[in-house]
Amino acid sequence: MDDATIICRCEDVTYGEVKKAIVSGLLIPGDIRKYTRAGMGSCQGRTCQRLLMQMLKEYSDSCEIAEDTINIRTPIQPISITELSVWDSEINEKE
Amino acid sequence: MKTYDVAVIGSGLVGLSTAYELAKKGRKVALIDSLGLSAGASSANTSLLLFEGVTRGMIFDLCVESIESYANMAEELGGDVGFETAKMICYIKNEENFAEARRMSDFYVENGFEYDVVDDSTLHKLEPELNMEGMLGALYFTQWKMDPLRVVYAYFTRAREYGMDWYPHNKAIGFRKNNERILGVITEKGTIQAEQYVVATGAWTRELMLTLNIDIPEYYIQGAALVAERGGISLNNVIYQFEPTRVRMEQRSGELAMELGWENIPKLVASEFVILQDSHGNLVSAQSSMVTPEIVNAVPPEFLRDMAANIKLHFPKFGVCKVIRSWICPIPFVPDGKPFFGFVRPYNNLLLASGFASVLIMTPILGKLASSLLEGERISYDLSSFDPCRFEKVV
Ligand SMILES: Cc1cc2nc3c(=O)[nH]c(=O)nc-3n(C[C@H](O)[C@H](O)[C@H](O)COP(=O)(O)OP(=O)(O)OC[C@H]3O[C@@H](n4cnc5c(N)ncnc54)[C@H](O)[C@@H]3O)c2cc1C
Ligand code: FES
Repeated sequence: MDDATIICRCEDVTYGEVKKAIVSGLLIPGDIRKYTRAGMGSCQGRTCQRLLMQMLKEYSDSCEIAEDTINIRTPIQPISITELSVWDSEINEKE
Repeated sequence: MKTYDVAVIGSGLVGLSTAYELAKKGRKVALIDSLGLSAGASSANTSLLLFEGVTRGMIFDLCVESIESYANMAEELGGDVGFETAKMICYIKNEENFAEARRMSDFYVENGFEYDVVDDSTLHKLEPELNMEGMLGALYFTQWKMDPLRVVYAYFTRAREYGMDWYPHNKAIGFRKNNERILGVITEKGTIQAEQYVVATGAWTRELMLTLNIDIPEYYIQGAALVAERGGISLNNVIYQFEPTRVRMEQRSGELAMELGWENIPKLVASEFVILQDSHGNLVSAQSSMVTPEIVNAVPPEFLRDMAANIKLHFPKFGVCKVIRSWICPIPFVPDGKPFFGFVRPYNNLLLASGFASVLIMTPILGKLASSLLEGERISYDLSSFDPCRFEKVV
C-alpha cells in the first residue's frame, strides 16, 4: 500500500496521513480517529477499523496499544433526531 | 536520566500551546498526559472563539491579541486550522434575559463589534430554516470559530518537529520536591525530571495539586454534546439561546463548594443550547449542563433527549438527521471567574495555567505568556489577579 492509498473511504483519509499520525505518537484508535478523521465517517469505522488497528500494530514501536479511553459514545445504531427527541430512557434501559 | 528544561503536564490546548512555544524556542520539552492527546475538553467542545465577559480590561485585551494570532496560525503552524468568522444568532426567550442581552449588545457595539438586535423578518432572511416559535427576539453578531481538533493536532505535530518528547498514558500522580522547588513529576510509569514544570490539567487540576497539599479551588461543570451525520444540513449561523443559567450555576456551585466542600455539593443542572455546523459539515449541538463532583463518562439520556428536542423544535427539517456521536466532558471553572495563571508558591518552578472561561479564544496568547513567564521575560500584562495562591488554602 502506498501513502496515497485511501484507507478510510467515508472521510477520504490516506494511508500516509494515518502513518504520520502513528509515527508522531498517536497510539490509540480513538486519537487516530479524532485527529486524522479515519473512522469518523458515516459507517463509523466499520469498514476501516481493522486496517487502522493493523497499522497501529505495524507502525507504533510501543508494545502497548492502549485501549480507547475517550468518553465519546456512539449510539449502537445511529438514531434520528426525531426519534431521540422523544426517547424514553427508562424504556430503553430495560430493553 | 534525561532532564528536561520544562515538563508540561496536560495536553489540552493550554498545555499544547505552551509546549509548542517552548519547543520552538529550542527548549527540551516533555509533554505528559494521563490519556491520549487532548483527552479532555480541548477536543470535545463547540469550537467557538468568544469574547469573554462584557467588560473592558486585561481579558478583553488578551482576547484581541489572541484573535490576531489565530489569523496567522495557519501560516505559523503550517496547515489550515479552520479559523474563520462565526455569525452568531443569539435568541432570547424571556424579558429578563432580553435586558441582559441588550446590555451585552451595547457593550459590543461600543467596542466596535458588528452587533444588531434583529426582527423576525431579518431573522428569517439570515437563517431561513429556523423556526422562531417561542423566541422573544434575537441578537445577531460576529465572533470567530476554529477547528479544535486541527488546532490540537497542528500544535502537537509542530512541537514534535521541534523535538518535544511525548508521554501519553502517563498520569501524573505527585511530585518530588524540596521546600522551594519541584524536583520531579511522578507518573504512573516513573519520574520525569525537569528544571521547570507546567500544570495544565484542566478540570483535573485540583486533584493533582492536592498531592502537594495545596487546595486550588478549581472545579468543573460537565458539558455534553452530540453530533449528527452530514447531509441535508445547511446552517449559515451559530444558533444559541441566551440563557445565563450556566453562568449562574457556576457561581452558585462555586459558593456551595467553598461553603460545603466540593465533594458535598448537590447536583445542579442548567441548559444553554448551541446548534452549529462544524467545519466538516456535521451538525453539532451542545448543552452545558451539570455540576456534580462525580465525573460521568456517558451523556445522561435526558440530556440527549433535550438536545435532540431543541434541534427538532428550532429546525424541524433536521429531524431526519441521524445522531452518530455524543460525549460529555468536564470543563474547569474558578468560583471568582478568574483563571489560575502564575507560579505556585512556595515552588518557584511550578507554573499553573488553568481555569480560563474561554480557553479557545485565548489559546495562542496563553502559550506565549506561559513561555515568557518561564523564561523570566518581561510581559506587558499585569497578571497578579490570576495568582494561583490568591485563595491561600493549604490543606
Ligand atoms: C461540550 C463543550 C463545549 C465547549 N465549547 C466551548 C466553546 O465553544 N468555546 C470555548 O472557549 N470553550 C468551550 N468549552 C470549554 C473548553 O473546551 C475548555 O475550557 C478547554 O478545552 C480547557 O482546556 P485545558 O487545556 O485547560 O484543559 P483540557 O482540555 O481538559 O486538558 C487537560 C488535559 O490534562 C490531562 N490530565 C489531567 N490530569 C492529568 C494528570 N494527573 N496527569 C497527566 N495529564 C493529566 C487530561 O487528560 C487532558 O488531556 C467547551 C467544553 C465542552 C465540554
Ligand atoms: S470507511 Fe472509515 S469511517 Fe467509513
